[in-house]
Amino acid sequence: MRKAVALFLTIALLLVCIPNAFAARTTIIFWHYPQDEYSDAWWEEWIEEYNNSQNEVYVELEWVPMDGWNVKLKGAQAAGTAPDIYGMPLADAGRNVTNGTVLAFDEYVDPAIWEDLTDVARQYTYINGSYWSFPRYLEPSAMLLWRKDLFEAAGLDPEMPPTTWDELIETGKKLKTDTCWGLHIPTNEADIGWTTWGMQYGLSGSLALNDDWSKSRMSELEGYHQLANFFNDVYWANIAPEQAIYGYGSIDALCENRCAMLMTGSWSLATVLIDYPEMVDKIGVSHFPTPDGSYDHATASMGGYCVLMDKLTEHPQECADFLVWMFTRDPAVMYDFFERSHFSKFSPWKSVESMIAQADTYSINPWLETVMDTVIPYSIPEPIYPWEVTYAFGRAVNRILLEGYDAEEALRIADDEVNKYIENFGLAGQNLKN
Amino acid sequence: MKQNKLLKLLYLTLSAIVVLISLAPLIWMLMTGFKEKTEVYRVPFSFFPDNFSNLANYSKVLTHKNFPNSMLTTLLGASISTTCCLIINAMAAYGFARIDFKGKKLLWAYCLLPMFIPSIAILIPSYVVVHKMGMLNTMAVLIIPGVAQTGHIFYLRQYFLGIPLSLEEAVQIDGGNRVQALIHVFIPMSAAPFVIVGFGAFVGYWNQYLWPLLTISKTKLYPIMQQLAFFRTERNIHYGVQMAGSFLAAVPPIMLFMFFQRFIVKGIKISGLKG
Amino acid sequence: MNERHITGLTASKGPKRSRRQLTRQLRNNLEGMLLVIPALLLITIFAIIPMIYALFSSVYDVSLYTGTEFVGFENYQRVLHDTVFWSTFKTAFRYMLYVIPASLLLAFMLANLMIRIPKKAAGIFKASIYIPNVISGVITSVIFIFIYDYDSGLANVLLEKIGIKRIGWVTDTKYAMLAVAIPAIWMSLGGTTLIMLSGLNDIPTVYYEAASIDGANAFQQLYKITLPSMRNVFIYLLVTSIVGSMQVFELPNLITHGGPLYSTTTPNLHIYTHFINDTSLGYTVAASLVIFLLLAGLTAVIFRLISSEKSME
Repeated sequence: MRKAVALFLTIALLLVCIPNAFAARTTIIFWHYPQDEYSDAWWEEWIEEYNNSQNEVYVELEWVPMDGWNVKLKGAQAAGTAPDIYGMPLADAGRNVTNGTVLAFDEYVDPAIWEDLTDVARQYTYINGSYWSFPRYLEPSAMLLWRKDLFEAAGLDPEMPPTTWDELIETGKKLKTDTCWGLHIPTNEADIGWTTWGMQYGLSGSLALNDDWSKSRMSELEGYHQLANFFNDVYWANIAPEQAIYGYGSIDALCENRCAMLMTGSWSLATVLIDYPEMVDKIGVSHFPTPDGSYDHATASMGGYCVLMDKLTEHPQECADFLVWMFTRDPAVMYDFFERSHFSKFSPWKSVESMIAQADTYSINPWLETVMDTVIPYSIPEPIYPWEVTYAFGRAVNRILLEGYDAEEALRIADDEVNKYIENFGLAGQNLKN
Repeated sequence: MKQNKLLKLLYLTLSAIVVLISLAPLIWMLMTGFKEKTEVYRVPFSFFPDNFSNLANYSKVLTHKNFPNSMLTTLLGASISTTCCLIINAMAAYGFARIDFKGKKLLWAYCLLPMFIPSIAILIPSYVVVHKMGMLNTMAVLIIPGVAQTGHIFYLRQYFLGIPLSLEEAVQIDGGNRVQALIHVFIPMSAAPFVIVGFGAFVGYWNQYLWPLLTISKTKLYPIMQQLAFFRTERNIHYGVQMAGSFLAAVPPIMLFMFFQRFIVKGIKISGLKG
Repeated sequence: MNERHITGLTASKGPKRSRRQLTRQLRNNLEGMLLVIPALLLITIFAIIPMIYALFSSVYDVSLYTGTEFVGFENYQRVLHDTVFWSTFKTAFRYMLYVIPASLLLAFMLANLMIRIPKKAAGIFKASIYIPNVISGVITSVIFIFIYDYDSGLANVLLEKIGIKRIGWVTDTKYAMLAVAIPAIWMSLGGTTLIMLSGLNDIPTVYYEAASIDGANAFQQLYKITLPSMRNVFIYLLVTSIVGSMQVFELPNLITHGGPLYSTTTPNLHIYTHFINDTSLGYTVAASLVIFLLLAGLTAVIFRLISSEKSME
């Protein structure tokens, strides 16, 4: 009888204490929006691993729908309920630093970890003397994919993609049939603006704003004129749908025979390898064509994702510890991610890079060599100026296509819009990039 | 007589066409739910799916780890919200319509204020208020703020004012009190507007998206519109799945409507606007 | 509306109030208050207080991150100087032109159709055109985005069948507003038609009988009997449609994202876009208050016009 009571009391005590043990754990809220199935699964599995590996901190991953992300984050920031950490595109680190909504990691990590960053990645995270984000991956935003079998059917050499804009349009005309478009390019203003960042820079030598963000100079830059006219030429050649099929870089359009050539980013390679394995042999990849065919200047921007820490978080050290555990403690964690992505994304961490280099990546991702040789070396980092500047360029292109303006005029209007925005929101002098 | 018959046939045909056009987008949604990705993208176009028994999309939606839970949660929340809405708004409408109390005119004017407040102006301030009240990530935050609606109170009050007093007075003459008058006469007479307000409250709760998006972050509490949003991903857009999910999410309000259809259709009119 | 009350207390105002009447008044006060307080309390917490907070934050640059500072009317100035802000009113007006006349006309025609078919068929008819009313704006947007697909969407397929070239519904400034107006009309037609129907049903049939005895034809009956009798219904629908149109936001946000070239950026959408892109709440709140004032003013003007017309009769 006594033994039973003792056992009962012990169990009761344990039951009372164990929840308490959990209750003592600090909870970190982590917001992310779903991207690709493999990417989301990677987060969930490794976070569970982290939560199981120690008892002090519990990372709570909360998914937020993509089309509600902006309003939810902004609302939370306005009310003071922002999450401790959240995932954002790389360039948003810079934007949020300007906004003053993020906290630097310097005080909470061993500065030695940053030495593992590649130079490109460092440009995104090292701003004004501090480190503001943990980069997760990089990927070029604009390349040309084409269907080799459709090229053959049209009497074209399947291994020779167009390299100049004129060739691109001519090829598009030859490929266009009643049921299949020759080319697929972005058609909404936002996409037109950001997917061409690389080309904007590559053809002009600089981006829309001057160094101290006091003036917009799109109408003065050659590249912007050329790009605007390129979109115009494609539009009137009638080789691409005037309304994009399911958004920018819709690899489904290419794989479902809706178009023969596609402008898209390297994430599409993962989709082909995972969802359309039968198409792998039929698809070719190259850098996006340029006016003169050379590819030694930028044709793409290197986008990607990172994790930021909210300035008002109450657990900065715990957040930093978690992120260090995920990204820099053991390259195997990040390597797992890149493997799942079929090496269609690129590592911002040198140690992970070398691990990847040892894998048989070229047989897993047959296009990797092309991407690494002709696209990545010339890609530029994304600009961190406000989105309004990018949208203005998209609108300028639409003015030319839909309202018949000429490039000069449309770009001047864009400059006016941006200059007004600069004035209204006091942008001059805000450029934090050193 | 023949002309009459011909005319009647014409009217019926026209009506049938309008019904078809009206339901076409919903039928389209239903059809797409049965299509594979390739069928969805296929050119030339086919309205009907290749295979009506292709339940891949529907099963993907139904076996999604949170979809069934979300439907149930939303159903529960909608029911609670509807009940509270009916009780609180009807109480207020009755008070304003039937009782002469001090400050009534002033309070009525106060009650009408929200009609003029632009919802987008108070979206974030309301969010701040519920956060300070500690209601975030609870069912309460989805239910309580939406219960008192000036529009419903106005509508009910208008209807109550139109009910002849003589009926309630008859109860009083027979020796009953106000409560008995309410139960035996008033409420049964108000069945139609109650159904309309209740239905409106249910559908309003069911269809809300922006407010839950802001206030709910925990998966198990997602209302159905927010859960649906997860099928609209950045890449890999599969219309078949989106349409299947949307159709399933649209079914409960439609079913509820079909059930109460006669009341609702009859009750939609504006009283007191006779020319 | 004659507000008589069961207890009939309104009569006695003289100094000689009996005790019974006093306690009855007290009871009335208590009952009345108890009944309305829950609703009023909720309204206060979730509508009035946020409104006051909004007013407060419109003259500050509120940010929990960079500190709140008083900026006076700076936010309002920014709003009033913003050409895009003013252009959204033009957009709202264009939206109204697309949606309101078409809805009212269609609703009127459909209501007339409904009374001319047998009751059972009419029942099915009424139910099926009301169903779109219960579908959420989000789902409607998703359906119509797909309908507007360039190659395989229902819209362009139908156009091609009747020989018209495909339209970039979402990317062409000429058609973007139409792309938003169609689902808007589709969603609201049911309710509008039923209201029209109730208005038609209220017209005594004797009028028509008398008119046909006098030899009036269908068109004259329409013009002389139906339309005048429906005047109030039309006005009610017009006013509610105008007020509703000014607040349109969900459809243009999800279907066309306010573009292309701001052609579908309605006032509320403009505010929303600013909110998700700006650093502080100031512009958002100031803009919504400006719109609110304008809308209230517009409503007041319309009511003035209507009541002055009414009194002229």
